[in-house]
Amino acid sequence: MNKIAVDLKNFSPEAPVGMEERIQTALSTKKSFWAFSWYTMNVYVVALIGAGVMALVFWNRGDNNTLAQNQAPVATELKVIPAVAANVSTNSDATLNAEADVKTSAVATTRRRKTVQEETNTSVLVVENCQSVSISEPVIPVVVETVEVQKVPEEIEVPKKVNEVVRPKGRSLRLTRLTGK
Amino acid sequence: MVYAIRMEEKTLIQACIRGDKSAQHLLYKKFSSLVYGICLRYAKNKMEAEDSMQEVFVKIYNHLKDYQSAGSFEGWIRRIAVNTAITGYRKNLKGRLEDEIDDRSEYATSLVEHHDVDYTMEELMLCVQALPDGYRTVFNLYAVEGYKHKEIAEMLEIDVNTSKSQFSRAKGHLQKALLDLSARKIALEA
Repeated sequence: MNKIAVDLKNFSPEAPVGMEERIQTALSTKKSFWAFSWYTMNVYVVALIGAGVMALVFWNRGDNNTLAQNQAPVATELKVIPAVAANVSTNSDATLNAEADVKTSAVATTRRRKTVQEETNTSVLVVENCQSVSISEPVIPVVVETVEVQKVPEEIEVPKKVNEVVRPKGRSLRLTRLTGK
Repeated sequence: MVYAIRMEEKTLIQACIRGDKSAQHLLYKKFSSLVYGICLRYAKNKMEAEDSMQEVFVKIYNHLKDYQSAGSFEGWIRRIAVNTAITGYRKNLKGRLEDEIDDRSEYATSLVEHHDVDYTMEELMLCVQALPDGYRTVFNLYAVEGYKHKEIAEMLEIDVNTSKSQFSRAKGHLQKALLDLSARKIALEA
């Protein structure tokens, strides 16, 4: 094995033809990243154009958003959500509260209607838009007004506390431990 | 004499650093055989060896200014060639490890010394190149370059025992290949 190793170490064959030119070419073509070349220049140009296009796209998108915000029509549609009747028993407090709520919402609806009518006098555009809006009247459920209050008995029977002490028969374990008996 | 050679080398190196083409040509003429021999030993085939040789010479020309004349210039070039081969091996380490899953017992019985095996250098080189990549690298580093298994393990980022077992298997493979070659030659002569 030593002979093989020595033979291998001393083996120096002639280099292939054209190798030197290949090395010189590799040396001359191997340049710094920052060195100018048409290839890298093309890359830079393509990158710049790409960046410009992207910037333009984003710029236009931003403009469109502001335009859309500025040109957005004034909200003229009035939505009236009908009051939903509470499905509870007629005698409970919840029913009374529901009735009160329905009354309040009805008043609010009337106020809104008045406001919209006042606005129609000032702006033609709003009037035009308001004409197509249909306002539906809230449905107010009929509530029975009689309330029956059930009397609750005030006397409460409290069971008396019994002071029963159960004493163990014979000697306690503790005493046995102490005395040893 | 040695001093004169050193001076000659130094002048050559200085000229190469300046970019003198004729000096670079002289340097190539002087060390191309040595570099090509090393590259052939570590490579799988001639193509790979040529690629490796190109890389080695580019490194030599680019790093000549870093050479400190304290050591031998030939040793410096040899180290660059070996390091380039190791770098190439480590680059493709993942793919190569799969190839090296081998039967351990296959060549265990053939580990005998053969003193009468007749071979040419080209044949021996072909046998070395036929070794799996890991075996070949460890064999070259241990048997030819003279590195210790610990150093090889650090260089190749492998375990010391892996280096030892790879060398043992490489030796077995090589001996078997040379025996087969010898047997074929005898058969042809007969």
